Amino acid sequence: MTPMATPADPTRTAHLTDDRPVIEVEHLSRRYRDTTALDDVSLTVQPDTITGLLGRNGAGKSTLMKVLTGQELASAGSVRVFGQSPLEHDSVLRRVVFIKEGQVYPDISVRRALEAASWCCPGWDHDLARELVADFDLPLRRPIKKLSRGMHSAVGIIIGLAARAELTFFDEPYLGLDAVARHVFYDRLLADYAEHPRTVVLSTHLIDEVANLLEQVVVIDRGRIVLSGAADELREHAVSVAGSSRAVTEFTTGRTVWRTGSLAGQTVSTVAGPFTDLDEARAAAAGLRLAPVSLQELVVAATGRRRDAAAELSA
Amino acid sequence: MNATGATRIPTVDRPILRQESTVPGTSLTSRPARPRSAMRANVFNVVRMHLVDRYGYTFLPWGILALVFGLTYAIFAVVHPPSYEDSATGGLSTMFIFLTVIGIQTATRTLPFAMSLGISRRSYFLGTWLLGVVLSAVFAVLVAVLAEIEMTTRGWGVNLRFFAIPWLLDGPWYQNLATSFILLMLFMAAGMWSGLIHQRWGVPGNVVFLAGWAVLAAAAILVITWRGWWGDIWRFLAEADMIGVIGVFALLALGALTGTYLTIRRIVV
Repeated sequence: MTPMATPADPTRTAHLTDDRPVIEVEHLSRRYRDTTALDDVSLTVQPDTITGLLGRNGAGKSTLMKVLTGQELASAGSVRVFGQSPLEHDSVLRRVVFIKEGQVYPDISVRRALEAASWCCPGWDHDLARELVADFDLPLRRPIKKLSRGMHSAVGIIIGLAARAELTFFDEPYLGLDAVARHVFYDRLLADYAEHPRTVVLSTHLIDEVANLLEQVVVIDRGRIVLSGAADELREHAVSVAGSSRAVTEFTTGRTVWRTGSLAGQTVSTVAGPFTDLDEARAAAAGLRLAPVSLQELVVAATGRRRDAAAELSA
Repeated sequence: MNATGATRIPTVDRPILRQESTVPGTSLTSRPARPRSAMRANVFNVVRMHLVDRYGYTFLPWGILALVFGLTYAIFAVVHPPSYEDSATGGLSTMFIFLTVIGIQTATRTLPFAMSLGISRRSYFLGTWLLGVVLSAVFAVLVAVLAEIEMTTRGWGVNLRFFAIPWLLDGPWYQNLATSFILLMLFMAAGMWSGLIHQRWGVPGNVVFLAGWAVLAAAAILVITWRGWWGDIWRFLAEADMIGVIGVFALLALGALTGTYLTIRRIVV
């Protein structure tokens, strides 16, 4: 964003000079009686980005989102959203929408739910909501409690997108949605984001599906952030090496190997970087093929059994 | 993004991408915050949100009450009890049960929806009780009017005692109005409180909550028996001008509302 973008609107210019991150979390912990859902989490999210919050079940993704939206209370640490604590602050919360898996609705029809949502979201776009209803083929008159699981999820997705909130959280929003509908969601999210940039935080298991959507990635495991950064930067931190087992072993000696698989004298290993031009030349000379790893592999490596792999990334 | 955790990877600002995607004036991160108006707007949004299901709040309770009344009327028309004074029915309790159910629903169904849309617990409480007070007032007026008609006609022509519940709602109209208003609020608050407990601590929490009240009631009975206060209490209930009784109900309602507020402030959805 450039400060001279819109001199016509004084409030906007005033806001631009204040170039704060949308989300600032410092040393946040959330402990329950016998578990620690969040353990000393610190992160910032810049405005107008799409961030993927990735991790295994029970890693703390939902708890983090709930704390960020003032729905859950922090045990320790500080949380700032738009520079203020989100807890019980209507002026902050009004700029936020949070759609989660299995969202609970009152006993009303789809149409009424969308109508109610439109009152509460200052940026609501009725046209977009209509288009999305058509895209997802949603029966407007049907009571929400009579919808199938996928359609139930679609209601949340429509609200989350049409709200056009400055800060949008989606927590596993597509339970029961088929692949086609999921792609409608991705396409719509990306298209609307391009036209109306805003800050989106999306948690999901389907990492490969959303990999191209994400600009920033935060990987959380057992309540701690194990990996975070720009999506394409992160991917450069590891590489998959394929070739004869002997050559691969030689190349990977002294490096952190995340996973490795061999078959008939051939080996594929995922190894941590950094890689210099010399390394690449060496690999080429040994007849090895280097390929970037997928985000999913990266997350699996960071949260899987080889937990030390993630720590090695920063080394 | 930058994490100070197990891993630290340099924060990468992406000016190029943001310039591409930011058409001037379209970014949503531009609205200034106005705390008071945001809260006021949300309080009214909560009222509207409840009234989306307006039949559930208006025609449904009165429709069911009318049905119960009609059935009781038919029975009384056939049986025709000899005197109005000695007849009694419990039909009006549907009204109070209804307010309890409404209270429960505001806690378990509408609250999670409202909070997902960025409404604070405080605004939700205020909006819900703005509606609760109006709803109780309107219902109380209807109950008081119908009780008045009932007492004037001495049982709708069939000795049916339905609205003017003995001792509770058979006083002067203003007294009936106040009693029913406060009782309706009390039942709704009890429902909402219990619904919130359920939302926060589940079924076990609610069992403990309700059992706690039962234990408290039992303890009160024990103390009263031990101290030999029953005589005084019956005398108070029998003689006391209704103002005292209304005062007791009002205290109970206030207590339930306070408990509801303190609970909602701790609620997690």
